[in-house]
Amino acid sequence: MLELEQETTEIQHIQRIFDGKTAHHYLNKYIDPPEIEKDIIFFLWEAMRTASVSAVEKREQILAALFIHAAFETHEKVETGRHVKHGIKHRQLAVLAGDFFSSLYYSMLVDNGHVKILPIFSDSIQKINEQKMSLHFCEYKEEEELLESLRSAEGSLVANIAAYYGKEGLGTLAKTYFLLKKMYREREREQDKHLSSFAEGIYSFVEGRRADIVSEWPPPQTKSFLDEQIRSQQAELSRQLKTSVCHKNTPLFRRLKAILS
Amino acid sequence: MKLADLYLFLRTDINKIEKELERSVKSEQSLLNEASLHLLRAGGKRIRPVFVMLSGKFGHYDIEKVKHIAVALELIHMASLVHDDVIDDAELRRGKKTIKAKWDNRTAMYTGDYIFAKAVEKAAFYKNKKVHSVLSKAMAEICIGEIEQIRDQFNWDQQLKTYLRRIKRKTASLIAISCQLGAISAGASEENQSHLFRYGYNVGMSYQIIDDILDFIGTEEELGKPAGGDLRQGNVTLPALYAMCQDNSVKRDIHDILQSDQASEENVLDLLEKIKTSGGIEYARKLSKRYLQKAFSALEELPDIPAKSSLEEIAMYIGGRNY
Repeated sequence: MLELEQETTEIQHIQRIFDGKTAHHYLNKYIDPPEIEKDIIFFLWEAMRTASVSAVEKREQILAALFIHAAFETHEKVETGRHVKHGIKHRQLAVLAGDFFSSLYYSMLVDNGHVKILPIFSDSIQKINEQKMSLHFCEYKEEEELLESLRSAEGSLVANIAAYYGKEGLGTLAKTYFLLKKMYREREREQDKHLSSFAEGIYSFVEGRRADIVSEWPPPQTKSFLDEQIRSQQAELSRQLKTSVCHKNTPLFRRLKAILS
Repeated sequence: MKLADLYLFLRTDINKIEKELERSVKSEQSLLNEASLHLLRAGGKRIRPVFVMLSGKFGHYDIEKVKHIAVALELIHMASLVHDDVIDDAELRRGKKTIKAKWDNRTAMYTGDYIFAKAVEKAAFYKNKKVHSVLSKAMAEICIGEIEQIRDQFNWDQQLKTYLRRIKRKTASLIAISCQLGAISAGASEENQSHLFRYGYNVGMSYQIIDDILDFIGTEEELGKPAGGDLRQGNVTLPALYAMCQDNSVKRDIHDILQSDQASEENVLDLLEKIKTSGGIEYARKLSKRYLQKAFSALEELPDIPAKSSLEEIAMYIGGRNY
């Protein structure tokens, strides 16, 4: 179990390495610097808590996952040809920055001797891109199909790493948690009308037509859907928490409780 | 003679790689599958796998062992092309619609990311740390090279070394590591790995310089786009760099014409003509030849096997190509 002080120090350490590796003077002029998703750190700490890997090795694998997350987030910002609100240079550099962050996960793993776990990462990226493509083209007849796709797109990287360490239950928890978190974010994101693949999938399913840009977000029907799903996923997370193996008094447990409140 | 004629004897193994490529990009997601196959079937010279195979001949060549890295390198090349088309907003590639044009940017981004991940999966076949270290560095270097190309667009005060570093990262790196990794995957000696890397690097540099020359002297029909495309996009290549260095008025004209919203096509064509007659093309050819000479020197260090002659012929072909 990580004490609060240890937890803060470790996050700062990870942040420093992450910032150092992703920093690029020219990119930073046009692209917002990528942010670390702290919940990935908490979940992966928990997944590797009893594994026979050193603290440094844990940190390296966590960083690799954070680089992948940064790459996905950056590529989501690539605008379509019809809509270049942020300018052509922003679009060009968003493509390249995402590719650059993606190359960092590979070097982080292989330079530090984690070749064995490499297929878990590369396979997760493939699966996530498959889900994103399905969301983009809204290939769902049933609501459950859409939800499963959203769940996988958001949580399967962490879930697959957790499964690698024999923590399948934690992976299930991660999928629900990241789905819920993303739903909150998307519901509250009212400024930018350029939809993420996540929002695009929900919008197309609910409204019955595809769009990557909308004049109003979230439109009433989509908002009701999100409200309903958030309630349902909260209940699901609460249920999973009661039966899960997640230890109390861990940073992860506190995060999970926090999202429910 | 076509480039492919130089390695006809590899046809069986190239077919194996082609099949492996097709297997590799298969996806359960139907549109991703369609987009990947569309890309694969648009063709390509498969020059990187050829370099892998020929270099593998300097070790204990076994197609079943070298094919994984050949496929990984070709997938990296393909994925970067898909993303390049988003960057350049390109509608056509090799005469066929690009993924971003046939579908959209988002589809192209997901397809490229998916293929990059497939490349890493293919490379994971090897337990040798050096394979991964070489490949991961090259992947990062390619991205940095492209970022720098965008940074340097419309910067007319570049130095020769900036240009050379950019083409190294953009083209030469991947060819150099294709040769190196072919040798590593077949267990060739460290010495031969290094000679082959040097050969690939120099051939790659020469190849890109020739490409940059052709962009000025090729016809629209040969190039599939109007001549001077690089300059029009603000990319400074060797012939223009030389012309600006020799004659200050060229630099002034480039600046005035290309950064003006009202530049006519006639003005641009006059400017291209001025660059062509500045001696820049001849200078670039000379430099390209110098790189080829270095490639030949690297080859001299290698044992005399048939693959060596093929590498020599490929280098000669690259040096003499007209389109």
